[in-house]
Amino acid sequence: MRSVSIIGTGMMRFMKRDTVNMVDFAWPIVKAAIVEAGVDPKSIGAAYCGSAASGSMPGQRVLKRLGLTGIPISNVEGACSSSAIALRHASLAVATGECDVALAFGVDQLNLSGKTLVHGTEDWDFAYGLAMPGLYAMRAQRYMYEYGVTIEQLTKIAVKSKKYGALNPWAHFQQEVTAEQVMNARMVADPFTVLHCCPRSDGASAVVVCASDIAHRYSSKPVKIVSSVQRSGKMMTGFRDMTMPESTQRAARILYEQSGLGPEDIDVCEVHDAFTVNELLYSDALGFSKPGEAVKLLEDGDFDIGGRIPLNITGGLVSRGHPIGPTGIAQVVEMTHQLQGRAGKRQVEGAKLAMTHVTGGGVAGLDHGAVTIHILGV
Amino acid sequence: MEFEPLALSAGPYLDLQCEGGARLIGSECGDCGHRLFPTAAVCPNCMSENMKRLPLSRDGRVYSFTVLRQAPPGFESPSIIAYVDMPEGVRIFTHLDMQPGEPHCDMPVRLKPVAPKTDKLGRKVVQFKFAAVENA
Ligand SMILES: [Zn+2]
Repeated sequence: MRSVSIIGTGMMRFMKRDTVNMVDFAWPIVKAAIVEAGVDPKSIGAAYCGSAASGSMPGQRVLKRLGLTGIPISNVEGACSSSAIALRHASLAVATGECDVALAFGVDQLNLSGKTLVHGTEDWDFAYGLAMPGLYAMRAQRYMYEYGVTIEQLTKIAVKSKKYGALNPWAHFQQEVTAEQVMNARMVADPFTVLHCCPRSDGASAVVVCASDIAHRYSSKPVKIVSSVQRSGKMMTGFRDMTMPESTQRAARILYEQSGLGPEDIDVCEVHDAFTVNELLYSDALGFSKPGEAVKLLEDGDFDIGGRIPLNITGGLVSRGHPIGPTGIAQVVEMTHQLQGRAGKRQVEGAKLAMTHVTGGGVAGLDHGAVTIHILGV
Repeated sequence: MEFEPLALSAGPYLDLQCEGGARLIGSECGDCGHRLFPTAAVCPNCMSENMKRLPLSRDGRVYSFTVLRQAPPGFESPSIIAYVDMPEGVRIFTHLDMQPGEPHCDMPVRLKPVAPKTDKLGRKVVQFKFAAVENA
């Protein structure tokens, strides 16, 4: 397998965009990634589009605007993991020698499609009245119960998220909030007020990848995909430990084994914080903390810029927004810019290794339907 | 009577006429012993189709819960939802017949059939909840 590098990125502000068709806001982002890569569009040998709520063949609908057709275009649906899986497949196409250059992008427009995730009607939990905020709220309740974490501590995660969102021109929410504002906001599912939850956003994100041995032809600062792991949650009908997301823990072990790296080697990380408690759940599962101890890192400032493992210092899903399909590649674009030293006010100085982690939920019996983790490096 | 499937591929899951009162109905694999709720035609542990009817105990324990302030269409808001662990080793997603502030993790609860309300699609949605043992 050949080594693969990211040579071009395209990203936009995630926000409510319901007055234009998604194709109209997506093609400029794809074009931006191709222009930044400096590749001849004809050299792109395959394209992968991650989307969860855009109907049939969003990849073709966007790429025809740019005349980028005729090549294999694969549409990937994996809920919140969709575009991260698209990137993984684009990387595999290059790694296996199927092509030298490939495109991966994500697009969704939740505010026009009126959809978030559509759950299977055969699924007991969702048929009987479960919704995603309720599922994560139950994870939070159990985590708080077992480890003595308080609502005030969860609130600190929301305040931190908004603090970094305010530094991010791509963030849906770019305003700082106080703990009082978080606590007094509209309750969604105890213990979450609306400021603990990611907003419903619209947007697109894109990257161009190529074989690492030719990356310097195109980019002065290519970013290598050091490791990539995708898994599905295991079907379990019994007493699952909801404080420890097994699919993330399992995928992380594989990732560390195949890369020869450990959690202590990662300089900056984006986890799937659709809700505030996720930072604690995934810090534990990714091995940044022992089970139940993530809150110490939070309290000690270790999740901040300058701390041991800056976590979601882009504002994460809670502030940057969560259009579902594009979210995974948005994380990758942000971390690519970190490693290239172009992250502006949210730059982690000297970052060499970055991790992106995104799950994809909504199938009862599996902790998550999908989990996709990448380590990027320079 | 047994309640008809709610989830489209689930079999009947609530039997009001069991000996000793209402029971939820799960499945037990006749080959490997794997258990699950609701009933299933095939075992997710060994792919056997030799699935047997398994009436569950009435008493369980709240694993976790929340108050969903805006419930999905067809459900009353707020909904107090929970995962309840049963002695048979299965976990059930359910509603709790309680007020906000009442439920807590590891609370003992008991099955409580409730008068089904009809949702906008004409389905009888919530047909059972779990309640504090003294209120069931
Ligand atoms: Zn079996």
